[in-house]
This record gives sequence, structure tokens and C-alpha cells, in this order.
Amino acid sequence: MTLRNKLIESLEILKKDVAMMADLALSNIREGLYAFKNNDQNLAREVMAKDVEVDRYEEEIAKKALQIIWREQPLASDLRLVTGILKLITDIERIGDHASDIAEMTLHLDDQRNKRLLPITSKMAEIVEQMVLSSIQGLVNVDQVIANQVIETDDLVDDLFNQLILKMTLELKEDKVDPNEAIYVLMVAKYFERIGDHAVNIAEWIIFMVSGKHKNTPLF
Amino acid sequence: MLMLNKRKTYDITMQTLTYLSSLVSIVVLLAIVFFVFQKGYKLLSWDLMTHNYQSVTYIADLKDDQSSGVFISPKTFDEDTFYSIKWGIALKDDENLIGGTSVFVTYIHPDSPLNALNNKGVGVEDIYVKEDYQIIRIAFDGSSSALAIHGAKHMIEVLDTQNSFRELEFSTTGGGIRGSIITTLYLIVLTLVFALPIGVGAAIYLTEYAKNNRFTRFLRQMIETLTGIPSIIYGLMGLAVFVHLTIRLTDATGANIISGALTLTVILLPVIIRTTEESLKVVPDDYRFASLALGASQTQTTFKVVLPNATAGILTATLLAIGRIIGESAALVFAIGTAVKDDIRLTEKSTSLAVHIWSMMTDEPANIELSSTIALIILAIVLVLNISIKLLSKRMLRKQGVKR
Amino acid sequence: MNENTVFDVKDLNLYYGEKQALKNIEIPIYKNQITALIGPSGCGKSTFLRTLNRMNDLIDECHLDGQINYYDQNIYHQNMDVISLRTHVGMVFQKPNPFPMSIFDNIAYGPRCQGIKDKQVLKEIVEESLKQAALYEEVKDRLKESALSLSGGQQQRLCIARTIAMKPDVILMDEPTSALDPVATLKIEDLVVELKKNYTIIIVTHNMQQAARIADKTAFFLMGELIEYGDNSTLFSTPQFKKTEDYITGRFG
Repeated sequence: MTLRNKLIESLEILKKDVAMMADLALSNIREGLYAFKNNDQNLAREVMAKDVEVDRYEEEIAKKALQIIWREQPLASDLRLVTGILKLITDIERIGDHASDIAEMTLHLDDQRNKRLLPITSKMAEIVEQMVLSSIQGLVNVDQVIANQVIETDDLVDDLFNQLILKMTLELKEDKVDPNEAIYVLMVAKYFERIGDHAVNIAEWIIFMVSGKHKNTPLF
Repeated sequence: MLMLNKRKTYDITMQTLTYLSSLVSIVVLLAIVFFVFQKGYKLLSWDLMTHNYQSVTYIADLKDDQSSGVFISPKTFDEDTFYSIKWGIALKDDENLIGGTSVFVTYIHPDSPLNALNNKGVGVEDIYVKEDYQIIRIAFDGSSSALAIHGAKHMIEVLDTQNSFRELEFSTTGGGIRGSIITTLYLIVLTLVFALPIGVGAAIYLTEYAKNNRFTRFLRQMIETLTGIPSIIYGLMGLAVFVHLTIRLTDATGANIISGALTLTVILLPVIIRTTEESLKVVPDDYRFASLALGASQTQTTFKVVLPNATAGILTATLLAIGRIIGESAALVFAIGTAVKDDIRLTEKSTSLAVHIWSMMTDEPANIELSSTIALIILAIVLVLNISIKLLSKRMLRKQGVKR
Repeated sequence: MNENTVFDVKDLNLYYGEKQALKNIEIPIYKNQITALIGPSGCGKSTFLRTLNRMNDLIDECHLDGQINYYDQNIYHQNMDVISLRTHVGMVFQKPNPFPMSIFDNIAYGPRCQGIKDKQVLKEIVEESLKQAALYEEVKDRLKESALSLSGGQQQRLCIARTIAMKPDVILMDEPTSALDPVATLKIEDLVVELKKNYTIIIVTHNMQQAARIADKTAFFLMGELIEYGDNSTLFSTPQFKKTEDYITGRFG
């Protein structure tokens, strides 16, 4: 006989909400990059507006998590789940902000786009999007293995970013590229690198949910 | 609406029936008490309770140095009392303790020669006439005797004409139940002294110490059965066993008070054990656990915690016991005898109040009035005991803080 | 076994007649700590508690094998004086059970049974015990009144004072607050936490939050077995065994 159906239900709803929040942030990332690549100023503004919804999600989820705490006095895995979620939604919100920032970059460049500048950024975007997707999956299944994979993948992202900087520096020296455009491309790439870091943070809180340790420090 | 009415009527009918039952019970009880009271109150007196049963009849004559004289009484007498100035004696016709009429001495002048008489019969030499004695006959030399049936007035008139008498036959007051009262008290004390320690002790063993096995259950079953045996069987047993025992061990020669007390003990033991057990069981186990957990021994727990709590119940058991002792007649008839005695010895026959009633009622003719009077006295004793035990237990409970 | 181990239970098996109530219990209890015993109804935690002061002896069909060492003495050894044991290991029960006597007499009962008669000594013991039980101020003017005139919470504190009067080493508590209202419960919890400075306390509770609040270590019993025993900080956050986890999170009663 299972007891505490209300609690079980509340926890499931909480997880779903977090998944939907992350989903929204993810779609904002994709649309933001698309807008930047194709100079779609309208789409860019849409994405920036949608970030408000991501923020609202954070507040809603925080409220629900707190309610579970005062109502149900959760212990053990329930406790780790709720407190972990309270921490990682901050990172998802930051991811949303960065997606909005990426979209905003669109507004700073005019029509011309130097297509040669984007392959690395696009690769970074692809990997980072996968990281965010994996971390959502890791959350929903409370899976430590997936979380660890996400953390490892971040090395790749950092590598790619360093590659991009090298490449940009070279091309700027050789005057092969428009400095203005170069700056904005670098900034977009930086935002993706940050998104990667936030995905790692989320993964670390997922590991906490499973083991009670955050970055190898027991919190209990 | 119809259904409701039916139920209501049924309800009211049942209620009325219960009222009626209570009413009938109360009426019956009151009727019994009223009957006894009505028949018995006339004979109720302090004298009855303090006087001997047997009246002793003496035949006396004047001592040599005594004679009649002039004895003015300081008192005035009512018109039913007749006073002889010559002899200093006042006589009156009155009911005696057992309901007949006799000539009673109501006053003796302190200087009257009747205060010091010579006993013509056996026994003590110096006897005297006292107030409340009955004059049966006065014999004179040369005249006919004055007899009690002629009445007090006649007797005084004859006395006043005589200077001396040959014989004075008188009897000390009798018919009193002092002996029976004392016997009853002896019985109560002795029986309780035997029965309470054994009974309470047995109950304590059964409740606190005995393991709950087949033997204990069997023991309890036996005690349970014993409570139902008619007491007259115990009386037979008392006759067979205790009378012989006491004859052997003491200087008793037949049924005696001790054997009566022992028989009553046996009758009462099952009841006392049962009631005590019940009151011990009612003491919550919580108290026992608390006491043992504090490092008290089983004995300390029993005597410092359980027993004080059960005292109210034990008092009730005692009260029941006393009631039974006072009321028990059938068994005692064998074990204690039916001789109404004045001189009470533990090793001799006697009667308790109940047996006294039995004795009166089996006489020819049956003396219902006296029996009713004794019944009243018994009722009074039981009532007083009841109230005092209730007060006692209330006091004890209040000390423990139990709010009742 | 170091001197910090008050009880060392080894391989304890307990039976009520044919039925086994405790299976292979092994557990050390440490000095000046509050050890909580939790578990669903009938899991054996109260039975286990009672083995520690041999109150189970009072139950006819109860027998056990195994060893329970109080410091270095096996308390089930033939020569163990049970009465003396109980003066070292006291017990407070679920339902407050003060004797129907005055408050003073209740607390003086234990010492009196041990032969202490001196009035001054008894007075001091009573005062000291009431103070330790945080009850003195409330009853100091009515020590001669009946103990039954106190409220439920006060009665339970009286029972604690009564136990303390024996100056025990260990206090066993069998669900001491389950019959009390929330405020009285919290008062007793505060008291227990204070008491652990001077006594070793083992408390059976069916209230998990209470165990989480006051205990240092908790032992989880299930169907006569000891499933998990550990520091509160780990047992309530990251329990080792799924059964513990399921019980703590209330997935089963």
C-alpha cells in the first residue's frame, strides 16, 4: 500500500514543471541562434519577450517546492529532490537569460553575415543543446550516470571555445574578417559556453539528489 | 409520524416498567423494615441490651440484724407506683422484657433492709434487692403470701402490715440480650482475625505472585465453587472438625465460640478471597510496572502500591463479611450452640444475635416481638458499620487524590 | 567496546512462546546520547526497549537468547540482580502513570524503597529531581497534593522526575509523548535534550519528526529486525537501505 499520494503527485508535478521550464529555455536557445544566423530581427524580439515566461516558471516552481517543504516535511530522497530543484532552477533561469542575450545580439549586426564565422559556434550550440536536453532527462529520471556525462561533455565545449578564440585572433590579424562581426560572434559563442557551465551546475545538483553530495562535499 | 409514535410508546412503556420494578423493590424493602420496626420498637430499650438473659431467682430472708423501720422516700411516685414506707421499697406493675407482666422494683431506699439479705439457697450468701428486679413472692409467718400475680398494690399493702417476712422470692432482671451482643462482637473480631489475613494473603498470592497456569486456574475455580455451598453444610463441617479440634486443644467441652469463629472463617474465606482478588485486579498494571521499573521488589510493589489502592475494596469485603457473620444462623447453630448465656467464655457455648432470634422463634410460643427488636438492633449495627466504612474509604480515596 | 558504550547488544533473539519477536539484534548504545528507535507498529522496538531493563521478565511466555552487556556485565546472567539493574536503568512509560499519592511521595517512592528514610535527604532528592525535570517551579507549593491533580504533561514530567530520583545511568522512554498534546510534547522534547547531558537516553517513538528533532542516532526496526542504525544526519537524509528510505518517506506504514 503506498501512502503519501499527495506528496508523490506533488513531486511529479514539480519535476514536470522543471522539464517544461528547461524545454522553453532550450527552444529559446535554438530560436535565438537561428535569428542570429539569419538576421531575423522579429524572431529575435520574440525570443527576448519569451524569457519573461522562463522567469515566471522559476517563481512558480519555487513556490511549489516551498509548499512541499512546509506541508509534507520531506525526508531522505524526497528532501534531496525538492532542495536540489530549488537550486537548479536558478541555473535554468540563467540559461534562459543567455538565450535571450544570444537573440539580442541579432539586433546589433546588419544584413551581412560572414558564413565562415559560424561553424564552430554552431557546433558548440549543438553540443550545448544536447547537454541541456540530457540534464533534463537526468533530472526526470534522477540519473547520476547521465549527469556525469553532461559534466564531462563540458570539456568539449571549452575546447571549442578556445579554438574559436584562436581562429578569430588569427583572422583578425590577417584582416580577413570584419572586427565588429567578429566581436558579436565571439560574444554569442561565450554565451553558449556559459550555457554549458550552467548545464554542468544542473548536473551537479542532480548528483546531489542521488548521493547527498554536491561536488563531492556531503551536505548532510 | 405513525412509526415514531409506536416507538415512543414502546419506549415509554419500557421506562415505566423499570420505574415500577424499582418502586416495587423499594416498597417491599420498606414494608419489611416497617413490619420489623412496628413489632419490635416497643421492647427496644437500653436495658434489653445490657441485661443478662437468664434471670436468677433467689429466695432470701432478712438478716438477723435487719428489720423494718421508717423510710421516708425523697422521691414522689406516680400513681402506678406503690411505696412502702415501712420497708423503703417501691413496686410497680410493668411489662417484662419478654412481654409478660411482673412486679418490678422501681426504687429501693438506700437504708432499706432489703439491701442486705440472706440467701437461703446455694451460692453467694449476701444478696440484695435492686431496682428493676422482679418480686415473685413474699411469704410471711402467719399470713398468706403476697404473690406477683396479685399486683404491686396488693403486695405493698400486705408488706405495710407486716414487720418481718419469712421468705422473699425475687428474680434479677433477665431477658436481656447482653450475652448475645457480646458473643456477636467476639465472633466478629475472632472471625476477622482468622479470615482477613488468610483471605487477603491468598488473594495477594493469586493475583501478584502466582503464574497463570492450569494449577492456578484450578485453584480459582475451586474457590469460586466454594462460594456457592450452602452455609449449613459448613456448619456440619464445623461441628465435625472444629468442635472436636477445640475440645482437643482447649478446655472446651462442646461447641464453643472459637469453633463458631473458625466455621465462619471457612464460610467467609472464599468470599473474602474473591472480593479482594477483584479489588486487586482493578488496580491498574501501570502502577505495578512503574514501581518495578523504579527498582522496587515485588513485595514492596504489592504492599506499598497495590494493597493501599485495593484497600477500599478490601474494606467492602470486610463489611460484607461482618454482615454475613451477624446474619449467619444455620451454620452457627451447630458450631456454637443454642444456649443463651450471660457469662461468655470463648471456650463455651453461646449464641449470636441471629441464633438468639432463631432460639426465640423456636420457643413455645414464638416471641416475634423480641425477635423483631433484635432484628432492629442488628439493622442498626449493620447501618452504622456501613456508614462508617463508607466514610473511611472516602477519606482514604481523598488522600490518594482520586476524585469521586 | 570502549567506555563510551553503555549497552552492547549481541545476537539477540527474543520469543513470545513460539513466535519470534526479535531477530539477531546487534546494536551498541552510546553514553550521553539520545538514541531513537523507530519503526511501524509491531516491529519490536518496544519489546527491544524492555529487554534493556528486563521488564520483559514480567511476561510469562517471553524468553530470549543472546547477550546484552551493560558496560561489561551481561544483564541476563543468572547472578544479575534485576532490581539493582533497574535502579541504574530507569523507564518512563507511554501513558503517564503517577501513583495515587502526593507529588512528594511519588518521587520519594524509589529512594524509600532503597531504604532512604532521612526526611532532609528525601526532601533534597525530591527538589533536585523536580528541578531537573523542569517541574519544580510549577509544583513547589503543592508537593503534598495528589499527583493525579496535575495535567497530562505535568504528570509525565513527574514520572520523569520520579525516575531521575533514583539517579539512574540510563533512561528508557517508551513513546513518552504519544498521549500528550503538542505543546506538552515539545516541552518534554526540550527536557529530554537537556537531560542527555547527564543521562543516556533511549527513546521509542512512532513520530519520525520527533526522532529527527531530538535524537543523535536512530535505529530503524522492521518486523523484529534491525534494518539500519546510524547518525541522524545520514539516516534521515541519505539512508542506506531502501526499506529505511521507504519508511522514512512514508511510502509505507
